[in-house]
Amino acid sequence: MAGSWFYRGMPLLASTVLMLFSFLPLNSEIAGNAQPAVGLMCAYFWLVYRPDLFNLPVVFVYGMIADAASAAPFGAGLVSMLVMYLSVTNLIKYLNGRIFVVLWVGIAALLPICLLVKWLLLSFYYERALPLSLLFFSYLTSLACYPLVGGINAWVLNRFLQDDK
Amino acid sequence: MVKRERDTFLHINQLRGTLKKFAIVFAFVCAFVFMLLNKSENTLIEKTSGTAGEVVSSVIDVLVMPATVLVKSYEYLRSLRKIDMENQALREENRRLTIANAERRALAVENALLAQLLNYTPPPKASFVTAKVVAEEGSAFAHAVTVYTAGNESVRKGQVVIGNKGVIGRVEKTGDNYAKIFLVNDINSKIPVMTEKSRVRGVLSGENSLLPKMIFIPLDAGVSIGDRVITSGIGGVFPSGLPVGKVVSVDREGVKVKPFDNLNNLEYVQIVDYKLPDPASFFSAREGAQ
Repeated sequence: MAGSWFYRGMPLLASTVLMLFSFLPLNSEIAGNAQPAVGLMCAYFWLVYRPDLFNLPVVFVYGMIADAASAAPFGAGLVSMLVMYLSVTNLIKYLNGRIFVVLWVGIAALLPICLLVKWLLLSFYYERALPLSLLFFSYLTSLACYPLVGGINAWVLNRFLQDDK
Repeated sequence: MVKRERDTFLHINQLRGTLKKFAIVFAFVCAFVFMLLNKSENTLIEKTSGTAGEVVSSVIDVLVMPATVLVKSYEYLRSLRKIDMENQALREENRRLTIANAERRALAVENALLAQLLNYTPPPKASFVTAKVVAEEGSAFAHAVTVYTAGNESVRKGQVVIGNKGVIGRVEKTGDNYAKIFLVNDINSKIPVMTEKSRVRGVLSGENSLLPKMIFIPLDAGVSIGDRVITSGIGGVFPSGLPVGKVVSVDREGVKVKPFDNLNNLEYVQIVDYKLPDPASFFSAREGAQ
C-alpha cells in the first residue's frame, strides 16, 4: 500500500475535499463574510505530520486547486500556500511530535503571516487596501475551526496512513 | 574507489539541495506570473481557470447534494405545521391580487395608449435564467457565488444577477454548466447607480467589506440615510431602475449602501439578459466602420 498512488495522494485528496467543503453555502453571516482558511489549515496539518507526502509539488498543485475554486485572482492563494510551506519546513523541529495544543498555537502564529502576505499581495493587485477587519474575523473563524479540520485530517492519517510507520 | 564514490554522492546531494532551493523560488515565480497574467486578462489563464473552476464547481455540487436533501427534508417537516395558516393567508392575498390585477390591466392599456401618443421606444424585453447557488465565498479576498446554469447558453459574462429583492451582482465567468458571480460587495464590482428620489448619480463600488460604497458623488449631493438606490443605466451594461439597496450611513468615509437582498442567504438567483448591446463590441464596431 505504501507505494500506491492512492496512498501518496491521500493527503492531497483529503485536503481538497475539506477545502471544497468550505465553499458550501451555509447561509450564515459568519461563513458568508469570514470564511475560514481551510486550505491553509490542511496544508499546515499535512506539512507537520507527513511532509514526505505533502511536499512542494503537492503544495503547488493544492494551491492551484484552491485558486481555481476561489474567486480571488489566480496565484494569490498559491503564494500564501507556498509561504505556509516555507514556514512549516523551517519550523518543523519545533512542531513535529508535539501535542495538539502546541500545533494549535503553531497555526495561530503562522496563519496571520500567510493571510497577511495574501492580503498585501491582493492589496497591491487591486491598488487599494482590502478590509483588515474581515481578514481578522477569517483568522478567528479559522482558529475556531482548526480542531475540527485537524481532527478530520488526523482521522484520515490514522485510518489510511498508519501502517507506513 | 570508495573516496570517489563518496565524492560523487556528496556532489549529488549538493545538487539536490540546490535544486530544492531553486524549486521553491521557481514555484513563487510561477505564482507571481499567474497573478500578472490574470491582471492582464490573459485568455489562456482565463480559459484554464474557467475549466478548473468548472471541475471544482461540479465537485462542490456533488458534495452539497446530501446536505441539501437533509435540509430540505427537515424544512418540509417543519413546513407541514404552517400549511393551514399559510393557506388562509394565501386565499386572502388571492382575493386582493385579483382586484389588483384588474387595475393593472386597465393601467397597462392606458400606458400603451400614452406610449403610442408619445411615440415612445420601449426597452428590449428581458429574459432570465434561474440558477441555484452551489458555492459561496466570502472573505477579505473575494465575495462571490457559483451557480448551476445547466448548460444554458444565454448566460454570458457581464449579465445582471438579481435575487428576490434586487441586484446582487454580475456574471464574471461562465462555464459549460456553472457560472461565477461577483457580488455587489466584491472589490471587482462597479455598478452605475443613482438615488431614487434625489436622482444623485454615482457608482456603487464593492470593497470586499460587508457593505458596498457609493462613490463619485458630489459633496453637496444631499444623500440621506434611508434613500433607495437604483441602477442608473449609465454605461449600458445594467438597465436603469433596478432596485439595489438603501443608504445606511453617510459620513466622511462615504455613502454606504445595504443591498435589499441578504447576500449571505442566497439560494436561487436570476441571471437576466436585457439584450443590451455590449458597449465594448459597440465601440469596436463603430471604430471599424470609421
